[in-house]
Amino acid sequence: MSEQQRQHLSDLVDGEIDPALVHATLSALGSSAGLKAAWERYHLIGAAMRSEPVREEYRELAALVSERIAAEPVSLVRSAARRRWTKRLGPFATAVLAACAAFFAVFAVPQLFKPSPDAAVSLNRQVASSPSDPFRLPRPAQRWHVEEPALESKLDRFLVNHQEQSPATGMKGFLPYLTVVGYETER
Amino acid sequence: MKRSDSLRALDAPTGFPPQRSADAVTLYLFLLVSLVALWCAEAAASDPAPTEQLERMSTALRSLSYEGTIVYLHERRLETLRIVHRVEEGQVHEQLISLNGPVRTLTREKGRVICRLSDSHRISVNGRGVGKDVLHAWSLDPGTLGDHYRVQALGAARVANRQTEAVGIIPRDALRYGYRFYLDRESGLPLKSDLMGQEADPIEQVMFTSLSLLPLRGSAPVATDPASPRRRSDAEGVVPESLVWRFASLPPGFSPVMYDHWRDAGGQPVEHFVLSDGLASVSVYVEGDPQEGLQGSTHIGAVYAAGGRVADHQITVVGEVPLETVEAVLTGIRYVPGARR
Repeated sequence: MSEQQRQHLSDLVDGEIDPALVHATLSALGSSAGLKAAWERYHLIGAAMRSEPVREEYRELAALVSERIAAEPVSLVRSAARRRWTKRLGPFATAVLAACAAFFAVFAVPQLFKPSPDAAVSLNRQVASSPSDPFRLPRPAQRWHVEEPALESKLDRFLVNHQEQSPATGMKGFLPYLTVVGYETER
Repeated sequence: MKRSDSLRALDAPTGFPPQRSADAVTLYLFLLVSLVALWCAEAAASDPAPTEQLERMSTALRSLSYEGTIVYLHERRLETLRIVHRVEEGQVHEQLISLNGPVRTLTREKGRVICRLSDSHRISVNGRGVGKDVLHAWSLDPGTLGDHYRVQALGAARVANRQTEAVGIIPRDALRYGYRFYLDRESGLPLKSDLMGQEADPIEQVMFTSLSLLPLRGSAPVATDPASPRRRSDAEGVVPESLVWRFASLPPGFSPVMYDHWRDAGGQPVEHFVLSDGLASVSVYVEGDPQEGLQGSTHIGAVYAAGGRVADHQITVVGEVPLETVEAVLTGIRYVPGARR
């Protein structure tokens, strides 16, 4: 697992990957245990940051499923009675199975692949929020470029007080207050 | 007349000797130059000087009632705001409402400013003491302004379907911003304003897209108060000598014009100095030991702030000036113990 692969994987998780690199990154993910572990870690980190529950048994889920399947006993000998019953019903069963298959092909399968309205909305949101999309809605301009909300509030208060007390405020009329009101706040 | 007769007439003497003919030409030229000079003088007299136009703008902003829609362009973002400015019985009522994004409002009434930036973010500021008077009494001082700015007429322009005269306030150095005001010929109101830095493109632009003048109710607010400490020539003595804070070095042109002090919501004392060069201004806030304080510098649009610790006090400098200016003010502040009475 190279650092470049790890970076591409991180971009894939964040939805920021170059579309041309998606196929190669997925191929590498399928063949590298290190990348699989990194993939899992990135999702666990994301879930933790979103305050989603992180359950221990979900870790290494693919490996656990593979182990369980491998442990299941496989019966290779079919009983003679069962073989005779199947032989007698053969032509009829074939017709029924063919009818069921046709029914699924005509009615059920298109419904399965038709996205629900919620899924369409979700898809649209993904497209809209993709950072690489030049048509995404712009984020509000940051007011003070500081992390602490209390400090941001204090600077806002200082600014409004400054505008109110400054000598030239009367000359510039409403203009000084535009900075305070004109910037959106993300809170 | 035959052609030979006309040629003969051209050759004939004009009745003036050559010397007298030259005198007549000189006389005509003199009269012509005098007329042109007179016309120019009349034209100059009919157009008010740029500083007079700025004074008229200041008066119009203070005394007229108007409402309209303005667009505000900053950091390649466009905002639309609604403004209502009413003068009633000598009191100014002003309201700004953002029409884009989350609703933000600012209301200015009876010397009190209430700003609501979100449901949980509300700022309320009272006009205090000198500051309140200063707000209403300020007037342009061309002599002071000329030290650090050049005021220049920039010509005519059409804004919001109205005729305007553009006036530039051009800074003489990089420590302050410049302005381009497009002043309505009829009312004197600034219909467009460009905040200018050192680059050719404006940093911010504000423009009315619609404007309605409202009828005046009652008297206009009192204009200039000659006794006010607003004028920089009267600024000495604004900051008490007894204070422990001194400004050892300030950016050229800036000097203290106001001092105030109060206690914040947590009961902590806050000292407030306002420094000005006659147009641009900077506030210096001194706090004892606040829970949060700015370390370093930051900005919101063209407004910069710089903060740091001086003698176990938190100092925060805020103003619509370039970063270099707030940093220079912060660097220049000194703690002089024992000065307080």
